[in-house]
Amino acid sequence: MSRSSTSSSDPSRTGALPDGTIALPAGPHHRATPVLRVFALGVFGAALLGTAIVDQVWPAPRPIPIGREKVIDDQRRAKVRWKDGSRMALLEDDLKLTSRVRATARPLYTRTLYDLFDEVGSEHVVAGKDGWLFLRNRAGINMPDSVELTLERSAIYFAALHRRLANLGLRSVSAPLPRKEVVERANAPAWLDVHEQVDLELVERWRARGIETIDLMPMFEHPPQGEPVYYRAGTHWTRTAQMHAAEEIARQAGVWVEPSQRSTEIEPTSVKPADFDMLTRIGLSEEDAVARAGTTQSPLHVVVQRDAMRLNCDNQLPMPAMAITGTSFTGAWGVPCYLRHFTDQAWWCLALGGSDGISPLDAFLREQPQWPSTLVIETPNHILLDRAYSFSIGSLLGHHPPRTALTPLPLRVPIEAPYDSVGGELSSNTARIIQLSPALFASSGDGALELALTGELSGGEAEVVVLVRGVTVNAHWTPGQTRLVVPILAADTSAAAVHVVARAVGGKARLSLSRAELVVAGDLTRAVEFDPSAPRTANGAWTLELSARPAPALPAHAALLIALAGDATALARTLELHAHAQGRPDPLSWRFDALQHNGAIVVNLGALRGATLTRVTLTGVGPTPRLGEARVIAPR
Amino acid sequence: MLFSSAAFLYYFLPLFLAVYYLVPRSARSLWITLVSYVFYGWWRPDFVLLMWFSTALDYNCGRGIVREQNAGRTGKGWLLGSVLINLGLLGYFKYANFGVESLNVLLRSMGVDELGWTSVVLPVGISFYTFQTMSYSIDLYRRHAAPVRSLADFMCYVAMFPQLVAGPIVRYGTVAEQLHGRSHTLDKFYRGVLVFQSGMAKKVLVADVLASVADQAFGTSGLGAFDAWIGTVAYAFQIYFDFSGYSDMAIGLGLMIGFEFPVNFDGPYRSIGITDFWRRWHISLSSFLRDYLYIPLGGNRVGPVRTYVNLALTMLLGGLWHGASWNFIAWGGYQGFWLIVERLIGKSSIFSFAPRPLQVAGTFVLALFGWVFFRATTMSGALDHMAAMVGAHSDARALLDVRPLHWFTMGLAALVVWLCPTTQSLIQRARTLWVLVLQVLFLLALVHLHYEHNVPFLYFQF
Repeated sequence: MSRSSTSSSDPSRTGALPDGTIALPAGPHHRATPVLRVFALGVFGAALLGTAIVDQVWPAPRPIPIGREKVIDDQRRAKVRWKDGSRMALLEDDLKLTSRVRATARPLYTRTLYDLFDEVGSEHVVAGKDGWLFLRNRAGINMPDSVELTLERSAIYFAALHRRLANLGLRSVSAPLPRKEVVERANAPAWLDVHEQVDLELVERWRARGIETIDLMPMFEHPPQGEPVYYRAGTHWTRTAQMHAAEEIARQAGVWVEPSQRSTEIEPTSVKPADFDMLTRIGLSEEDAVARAGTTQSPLHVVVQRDAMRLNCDNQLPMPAMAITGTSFTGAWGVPCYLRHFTDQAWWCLALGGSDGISPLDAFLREQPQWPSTLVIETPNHILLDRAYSFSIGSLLGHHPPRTALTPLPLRVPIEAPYDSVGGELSSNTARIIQLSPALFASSGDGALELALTGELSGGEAEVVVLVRGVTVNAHWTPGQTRLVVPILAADTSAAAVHVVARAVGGKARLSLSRAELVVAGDLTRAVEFDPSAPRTANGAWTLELSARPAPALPAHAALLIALAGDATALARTLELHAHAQGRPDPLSWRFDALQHNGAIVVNLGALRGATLTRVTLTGVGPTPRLGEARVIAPR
Repeated sequence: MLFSSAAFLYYFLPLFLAVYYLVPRSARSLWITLVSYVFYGWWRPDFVLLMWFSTALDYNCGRGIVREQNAGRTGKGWLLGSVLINLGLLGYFKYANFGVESLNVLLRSMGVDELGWTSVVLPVGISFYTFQTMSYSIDLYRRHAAPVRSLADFMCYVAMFPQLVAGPIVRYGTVAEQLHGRSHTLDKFYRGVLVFQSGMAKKVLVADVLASVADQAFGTSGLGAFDAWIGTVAYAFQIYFDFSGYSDMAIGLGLMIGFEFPVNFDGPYRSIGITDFWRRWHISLSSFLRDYLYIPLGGNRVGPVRTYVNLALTMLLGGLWHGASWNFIAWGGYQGFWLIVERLIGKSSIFSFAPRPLQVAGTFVLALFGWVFFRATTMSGALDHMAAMVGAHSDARALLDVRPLHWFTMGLAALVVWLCPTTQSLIQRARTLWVLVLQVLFLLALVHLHYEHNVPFLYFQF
């Protein structure tokens, strides 16, 4: 740092300027220089100017965005401004997208990098062993929540969904799809934490919530012919895997038929490349998804129809008894055909798309004059990792009054002024419309208990959000709709407060709430009442035994409602509820930390489907409460 | 606008060069000025106003200084005005967020309400052009430079797009004559092309490829020792190839239009000590700090203790120049510490007992620990990363996605850093093989740009 400190023993450090910086050396003097000059300047000029000319004279066709990409693209173009540089960023992207040179050079370069280095050139894709490619976001690298919360959240959301479908008279079966990143985790790089517990524990968690769930993991991990289910360099299933998956779904849904009773047969045909896969993301041609060396893909199988009936995937057909809804895993390509084959009956298919969630199901059911008796809901596990995944459970199937039965609880739900019958203006800012104090009720947190709002909305659409300790449920209320039913979901059974807020979607709306009730799905007239024994007390703790004669066999999605009828200021603490069923060694149990003596408990008995409920015990600490009522209620 | 963007490479640059050589010589500087404003305003047009203000300020301060000096006075008032306003601008745009955040932390700890504050957006290149304009006033005051002939010349000097946003910091005296009397030869243009190609290859083929390794390493906590070292080495290569690549592209562009900017890097990872490192790393900044800060503080002529204080202060402020963060201050302090140690022991390297290759290796390791402060976003993050480097997380699993291309690139980077000639030597020799290799690398870099998204130059944030 001193003036005398610019000298160095390095011979390249000549040419020091008076200010201590170093001047660039004088020009090269080499006998090949003239030739080199022409060559280097030619390369420079041709590469830059040539690209500009080619790209302008012969531009590559602009990719046409579809679906979600189109929405994002449209939004971006609508928002660009000169001032913040966004217009220039868009121009840069457009130049690249329409560059003929880029369109020509990029696949070649990508192919070379892929062959030389297994390099995929995309932050979205992770290269594994032996040519296996994985999607980074499906590995859950940036999973926003813990594995536990992710599992619990998916379980409570889907339990609420299945309960709703049951209340509409639909038998629903869930088919969660194990992720490629988990199924092929042995081929994933060692550093990649794929959070396999999500996929390995999910089925058990869902079944414990009473969700009829198809477990595809055993078949995926040990496919019948040894051929991997997923394409090595693709995101989807091979044709053979589609066939096996369809058979497994049919078998576990209880509609599989013996080969001798089928009216269709399967015969091999030539390989057809997948319609889209990861290779399109990294610039390789699609054929590689199937033809990459080392893969052992079997030829395509197709169902040969023996009769003239069209199979599926056509909304104009009468609704058959079986329907499947989900993403392109089961909605496209061969799965519906294979389902038809293995069940020997027609299937209706609705591919909703992963990014849209299951919310379009609502509109679909609304449009149909008749509904299927069984609906298989396919859900790829990777979308469950995303907190923002559109469950829309609050709106979904939440207002089919003619078809649903709701039993209100004897609890007063106070409506905040001014959203009572006087009416109140909503703006784009959220406004609290209801707040329930902790310990007013206790529930299993999976939609067995719901909040029904009755009122009038005018001037625009409103969004209603129910929040319980970090778990939010959104629902949309449209003008003209007089009732909105939102499930109360919670990741635990603690006595948490419930906040209900609303906002105008379009910036302004008027909401007049006339009634708010806590409700249980099901018909009260068909409920089974339980009688209490005399309470037992010991060491400051009390126990209530409840039983019914005859003991009821539990239908799917049954819920147990216990209402207390005591002083609102008294509090029962450390409650434990055990539901004992015949043939089940362990009772179904819940723990709640507090409940008012005039509060209510609503829990999901779905895990005991088909069993006989023999006895219920409720224990707690503190003054003994009085029992108001105890019933088992089930959707119709 | 980025040098590595399609808009710049395929449209802006060819059009600029074509018009530049078509217009009369007298109009060329004006063309550079106009084009430079477009270049700068491409990102945020409103910040061009700020640059105009800065330009007008020092042009007028310079005139004031000269006027005062012609009248037999010093012109100190004009100089102070320039320095205070320039540093005020820099302070507001670069350090106000940091100052308010630090104050809010203090207020929070005292239970007092925080100050309300809307983050200030940092204008790209403000650190560079503010130093340049300020150096003009200081050089006039010291009579080290002659006053600029016209406002147009000064606007051209300040706005000149090749080195506008990330240096090298070109002092007015270096280019004063070139603003009028620069030569345009095919040889110069050819050299410019080669240097530009070299910089582009450095930036795109090395720095951008290694960015993902460094980003992962410094975005992940609980790394094992191996991952932590790999991530740090990747960042050391990334920042060198990124910044020296940018400097090469700037120097190359300058040569294409007849300007000769000084070299900004001289094989810094071949240094045998930290003092040597600072003679080779970001030379335009280190010489600026020496001439405008260290020497005015007294340099090494005020006794050993003051010399050490001056060194420490210079490096701390040098660190702060890079950004408003305690990490940069710590990085500057770390560099200053080793400079003082080397001066204390009277050796050019604390590894002087070892053979030269080991001195180089030892200095590189010291630099690596410095880069941890520089790259981490928080002090706790830096300390956690250093703890990982010394094996504090012994049970950590491998977390980094280091792919074969990264290993290959790191190997290539090591080869270039320690075994290949520096860019300036390469240009000086211009052997056939080197030139041919450079053409291949340049074309590869262009193709690679089609393959990946643009990665901004690291020094744009400073």
